[in-house]
Amino acid sequence: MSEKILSIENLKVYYYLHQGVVKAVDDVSLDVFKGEVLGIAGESGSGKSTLAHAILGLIKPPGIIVGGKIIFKGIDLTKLSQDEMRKIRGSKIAMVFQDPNTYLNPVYTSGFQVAEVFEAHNNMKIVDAIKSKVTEIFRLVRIPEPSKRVYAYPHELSGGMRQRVLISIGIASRPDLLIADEPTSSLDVTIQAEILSLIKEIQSQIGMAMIFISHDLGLLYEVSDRIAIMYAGKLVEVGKAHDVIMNPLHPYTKALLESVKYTRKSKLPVIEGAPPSLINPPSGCRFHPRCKYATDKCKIMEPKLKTIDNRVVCCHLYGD
Amino acid sequence: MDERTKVIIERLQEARKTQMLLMWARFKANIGALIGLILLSGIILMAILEPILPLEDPLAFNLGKSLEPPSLSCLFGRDEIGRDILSRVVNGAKYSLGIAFLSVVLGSSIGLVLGLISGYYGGWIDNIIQRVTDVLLSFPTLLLSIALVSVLGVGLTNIILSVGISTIPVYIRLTRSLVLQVKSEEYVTAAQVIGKSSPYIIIRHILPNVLSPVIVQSTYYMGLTILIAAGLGFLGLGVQPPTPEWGAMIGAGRTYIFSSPHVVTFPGLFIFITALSFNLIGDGLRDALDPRVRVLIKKVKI
Amino acid sequence: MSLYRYIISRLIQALPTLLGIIILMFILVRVLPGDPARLIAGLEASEEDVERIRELLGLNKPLYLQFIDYFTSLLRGDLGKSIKFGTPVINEIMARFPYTVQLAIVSELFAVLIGIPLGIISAIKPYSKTGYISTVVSLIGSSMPIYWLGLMLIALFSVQLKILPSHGAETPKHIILPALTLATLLMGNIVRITKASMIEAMESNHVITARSKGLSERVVILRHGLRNAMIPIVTIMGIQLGSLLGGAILTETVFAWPGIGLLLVDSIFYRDYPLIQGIIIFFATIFILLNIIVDILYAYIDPRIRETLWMKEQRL
Repeated sequence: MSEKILSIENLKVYYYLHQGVVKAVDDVSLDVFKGEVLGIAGESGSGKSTLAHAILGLIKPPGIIVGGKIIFKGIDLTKLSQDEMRKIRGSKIAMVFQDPNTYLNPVYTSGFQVAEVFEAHNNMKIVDAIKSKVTEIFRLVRIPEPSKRVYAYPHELSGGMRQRVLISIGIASRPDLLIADEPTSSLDVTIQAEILSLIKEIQSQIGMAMIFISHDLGLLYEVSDRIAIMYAGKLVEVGKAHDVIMNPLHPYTKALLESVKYTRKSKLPVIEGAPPSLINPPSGCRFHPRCKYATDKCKIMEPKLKTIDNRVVCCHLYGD
Repeated sequence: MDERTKVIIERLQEARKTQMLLMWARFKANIGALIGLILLSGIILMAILEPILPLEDPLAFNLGKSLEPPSLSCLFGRDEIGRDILSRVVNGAKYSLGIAFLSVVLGSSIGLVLGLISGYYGGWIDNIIQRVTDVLLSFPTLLLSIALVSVLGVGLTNIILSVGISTIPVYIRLTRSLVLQVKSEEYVTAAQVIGKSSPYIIIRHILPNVLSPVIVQSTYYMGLTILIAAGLGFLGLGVQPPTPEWGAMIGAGRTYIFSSPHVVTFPGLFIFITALSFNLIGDGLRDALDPRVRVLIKKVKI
Repeated sequence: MSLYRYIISRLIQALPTLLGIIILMFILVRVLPGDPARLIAGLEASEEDVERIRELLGLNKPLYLQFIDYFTSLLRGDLGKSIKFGTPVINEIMARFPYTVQLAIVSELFAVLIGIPLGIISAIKPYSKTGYISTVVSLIGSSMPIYWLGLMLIALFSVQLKILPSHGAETPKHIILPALTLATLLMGNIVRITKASMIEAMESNHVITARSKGLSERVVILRHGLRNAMIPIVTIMGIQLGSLLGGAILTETVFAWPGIGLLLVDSIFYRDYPLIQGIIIFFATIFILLNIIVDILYAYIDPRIRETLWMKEQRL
């Protein structure tokens, strides 16, 4: 059993808005092991992005980490000061964002923006960093003509190349943990495959742990060692990728997989009901209004996480 | 209709209601906007009630009491020919408010129509309108009003015309850019495909979406037109004496700044308050109409 | 791609507008009530004298010929002769122009040096004391009648405290009050726009990326917030040129500052039509030129603009 690099314990992240309190992440506990790829799946609003931001300490008012711990290499990140967190952010834990169009600053060259990582953590001058380190990284992420491209502005690059720049920013300092938040969602399908394989390659080359967030289960199956499923701010299932996909336990996971499987002859399977409100989530188990197997118990009592040989499920179906 | 669609429609209706309530709540919560409303109501009330208030005749002069400083019996003092400044200020309210309102109505309606046509139809008519707008926009608003006044002459109606016309170019630009944005939305294309006539589409689909920014702009413009009209009055190009227009009062009284500053202080103060209230309300409207979500907690320490 | 080409294309674009202004002024002046010839000759002059003056001014020729005369003399830089002074309009303008420029530059400097930092602070810390001050400043700036402010400042500093001069332009001290007055007008907008664009820039996604790199907050604010916010700020400064010129007219009147604004106001009183016309054309032309400069600055700050312009030229 390899060692844990990240341990999230009972994390709660709430947003205090005029309309009410949005419980974006509500009591989530998750572990990430050294060198593994953990996929996190869920619809929009499930809390997966909030979770990622919380790990990096990027939650700002009106959002607050209300409770829980995030333990990274023995240190509780939630207790760190801004300055201490800044040293970790970008160097030990880094993020690759999803939209290369808005997440890159249009007035600086791509090389500059990657070099900033070295300026912040290695005390290098931007100009030097661009020439030495960044060109190498661009070569690693397979950007053609890297020594020229470092001087290109984001709008002068194609979508796929911009995403590679974002990836470069993430891997620049060889972090222990890389969080990729839907890195392929805004790309063309053809480029998606390329980027995906690039990410896989780099991850194994560098040997870093990775959290890969996506709403696409198929993608996660390709890339992850383990998969975690989130719904309405709660964790519903965790397990080895193969197990979760081939033998889903939680009704939500089952429904998700079913919606991928249809053929022309059958009706398009949808998950009945509407996405839950995060201000007033359904009582008891949050999935119960849309669950085929719901019982009265599900309406009243929230299920607890249960471990069933190497898998974790949060559902009354599995005893208790 | 199945369960899911029903739920979605219900949610949408709720959202609509909540949106309206939220907008009002946001507006109310904005202290500035409330202050602005109160101030403006005060001034409007002043203008409306003026005929029945116990004031001296604003035109009656009394050279013996020239430049009398403010006192308990004469709150704002008297001007250089002995007229009661308080009653002149109260009387002047209707001119400033009237000019502001009428010129904005004039400018916005013409500007809106031209902007809608220019943006929706495009082509050569758009080109012509844009070229003319360019020329008009190359004059600062005050300068444009001055130019117009030098052509039309002075006086109340001419001020309203001049100031109103000088606001048209900005309205055209604003409306046109909004129309261009809305034009590419799907519901417009849908209406076109169905075969609805252009005027119908413009009025029914485009106009409602263009209205809110135009209203916010108009509120700001009412503040600005008061300043410009009073500015013209100050320069002697506006409403002519002895009519008690606030700007003209400042212009006439400025030579006495060294001995009797009260002559210019009070009219100017009222111009300031009125313009301020419009700006506050404009800010409040703009914030209230902003679809972005508002925050409950303002200061949170992490 | 090329800043140079962008400049040229902007200049060319401005020509039709300039032409429009000239035509507009021509029409406006012809529309003016009153007979310029009689005005010059005086009320007692005989009909023949007035007729002679009319001949001299070319007012008898058909309209299109008058326009051609007008246009060609404009090209020569001849804006006609002032009725009141008898000297060429262009001379009168040029004599006063440096004063207005001085006033404009000093005022803009005040406004920017105070306004931009206030705007930045109020964006970052909206509920702090500085934040509230900035909101107040921007509100005052956009609601204040400058002529009133000017007079109030005179009452305070020249009359009560007697430390600053109120009229004229003899010493460097003379520029302080006028510049402060004009600056307040400008500051209002600058603070507001700086605050709004800083907020927007700080909420943009690339700021999240910058933070995720572990950059210090100062670097994030300046490099990724302000730099991007500069784009709308420069735009607003460009738009403000109008208020600057308009405000100059009023400010110069209050403080008897001998610039073109004061000249314009005086000339309106004297019904000195050639002068009025000349000044307005001059103002408008300067305004257009300044806008072009702002556009160029804009292209320098935002690399994306250069690209699209170049592509447009290539008809891609």
